[in-house]
This record gives sequence, C-alpha cells and structure tokens, in this order.
Amino acid sequence: MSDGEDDLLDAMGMACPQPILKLAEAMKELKGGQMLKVLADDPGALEDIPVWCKRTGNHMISITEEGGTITALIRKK
Amino acid sequence: MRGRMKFGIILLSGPYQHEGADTAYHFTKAALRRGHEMVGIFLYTDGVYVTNKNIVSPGHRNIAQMFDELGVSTKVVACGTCAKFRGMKQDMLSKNVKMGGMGALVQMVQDCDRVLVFGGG
Amino acid sequence: MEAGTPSPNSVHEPSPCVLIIFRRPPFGSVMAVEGLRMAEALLAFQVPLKVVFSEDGVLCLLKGQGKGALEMGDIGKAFAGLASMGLPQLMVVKEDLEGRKLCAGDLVEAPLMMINTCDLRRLIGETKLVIPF
Repeated sequence: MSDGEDDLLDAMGMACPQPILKLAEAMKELKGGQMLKVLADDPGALEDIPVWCKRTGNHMISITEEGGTITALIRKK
Repeated sequence: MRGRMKFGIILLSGPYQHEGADTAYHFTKAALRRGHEMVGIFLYTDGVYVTNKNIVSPGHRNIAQMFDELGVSTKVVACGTCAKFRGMKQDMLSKNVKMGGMGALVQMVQDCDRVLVFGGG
Repeated sequence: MEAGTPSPNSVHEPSPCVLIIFRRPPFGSVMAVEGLRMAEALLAFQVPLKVVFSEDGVLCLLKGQGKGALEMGDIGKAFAGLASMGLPQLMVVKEDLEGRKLCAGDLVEAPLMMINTCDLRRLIGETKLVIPF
C-alpha cells in the first residue's frame, strides 16, 4: 500500500459501469475518514470517479492518468 | 410556461438503419435556433456508430459529419463500453466527439430540464 | 435543482428522477441488457431511479432464464439484484403480465410492485427523464 490507503480496488480490465459499481461496494466497507485507492484503465473512469465522489459526498483527493492507468485516491466522508 | 430550456439527448440508434439519429440532429438544430440550450448528447448502444469518422455516404447526408458539427457547440459523448463492444476506438471518432462513461450521462441528467431519447428500434 | 430533491408540485413539474421502462423481451435485442446496465450505473451514482416492466418487458423477470446455449446469464436474477443496490422495488404492469397469462408467482424473487396503466401514465408525467428500453 504505497499512498497511505486503507484499501485498494483493482478495477483494471473492467468496463463502465463496473469500476463505479465496485467503487460503491468498496466504499461501503470503509469507515468514515478511511482512504480507498482505485486503479482503472477504462477511460470513462477519469470523469466517472469525480462525478461519483461529488454526488455521494466522498472526498476526491487525487486522480491521475499515466500510460492508460487511472489512479484515484478517495477519502470516505 | 418555461422560457429557455436545457435539453439533453440519449441516442440509441445507429446511422442509416433507423432515423433516430436524424431526428436527434434536427431536434438539436431546432432547439438551438429557438434559443434553448443543448447540454449534451449521449450516444448509447448503436448510437456510438454515428460518430464513426470513416463513414462515407456518396450523394447522401453524412451523419458522422452532422454529429461532428453538433460537437462544436454541444457536448457529444459516446459511451466507451458500447464503443468497445462495437470495435470503435477513440481514434475512429469524429474530432468533436469524446468517449465517456455513465458519469457523463449522470452529469447531463443533473444539468438538464428535460432529456429526450431517440432511437432504439 | 439538485437531483434527488423532490419537486413541490409533482403533478405539474417534472421530478428530478429517472424512470426506466423495460418494454422489450430479454432476448432478441440488446435493449434489456443495456437498460439493466444503465439502471445499475444510475443506482451506483445515487440518481433517484424508478424501474417499470411493461408490455413484453414483463418477460425479463421470468424465473430461470439464461441457461444453456445462449450463454447470456440469468437476466431476471440480475434485475432482482438491483434491490441490493438501493432500488426499493421493481414495478410491473399487471395488465401486461396477465395478458401474457403470467402471474407474480412466475417471476423472480424480488420486491415487486404491481401497478396499472394509469399508474404508469402518472409516473411518466411526473418524471424528468423517461428512458424506454
């Protein structure tokens, strides 16, 4: 666990909306204030994850894309 | 009665098979002429085919060019998963159309007064 | 208006909600599956969603589908799974079910609500976005 995250969701190889469905499931398992790291290669995730965070009130710490891999850090509200 | 409205469109039909794509295009043009806002067009299922820049239509309207034209002033998004399942890659899309996910659809639903659905066979 | 905020005049103003109507049978076209995918996504994004099965769409909820050569999975079971994603019930147009000589007992185990065509008309009138599949 390299970014201080409490859990990792590997959504590589998943097509929309699977990354978001899995993200919603994974966040349910965290306590408030804990952090989830998400890895995805579906290009839609770059917009989907921030929209999901805004709608659900969870805090998007960072989202980056490098070589086709999207890495997001989200803190549970 | 409402004045200026914000519309969105979901397109479920591909080009030339049914006329949903044409109706969506002409509705958009008419709405813009009347001063309404077209927030976005979400291309879903076979709708993603309308943005294939390789469409060649000798002597007929070119539907890909029509949607590329709309993409200048309206956000036109092709569902990435639907595109994958149909072998459409990003570099096959018209210049002014982007691939996106359901987040783009959700954003559109949130920002519009009304969303219309065209096509579906 | 924020999505999810109830409209004070639901009869005259569209409610900020999505209504997906499944009108087609589960096989023969991709529409039922793609409508299900959209429903799952909207629920994951916490968009207020209602789902109705009408006309041949009621066949989507039949028990025991998807086995064998089609390799397409049990779509009825997948619809039933929407309950675990926060969808309170699946609405079914009773006239369409009975018109196909079916009853609730033929359908998957899921929170079902039988409605009539008047209810469906009202729902359509109250909803901001109606997506037929």
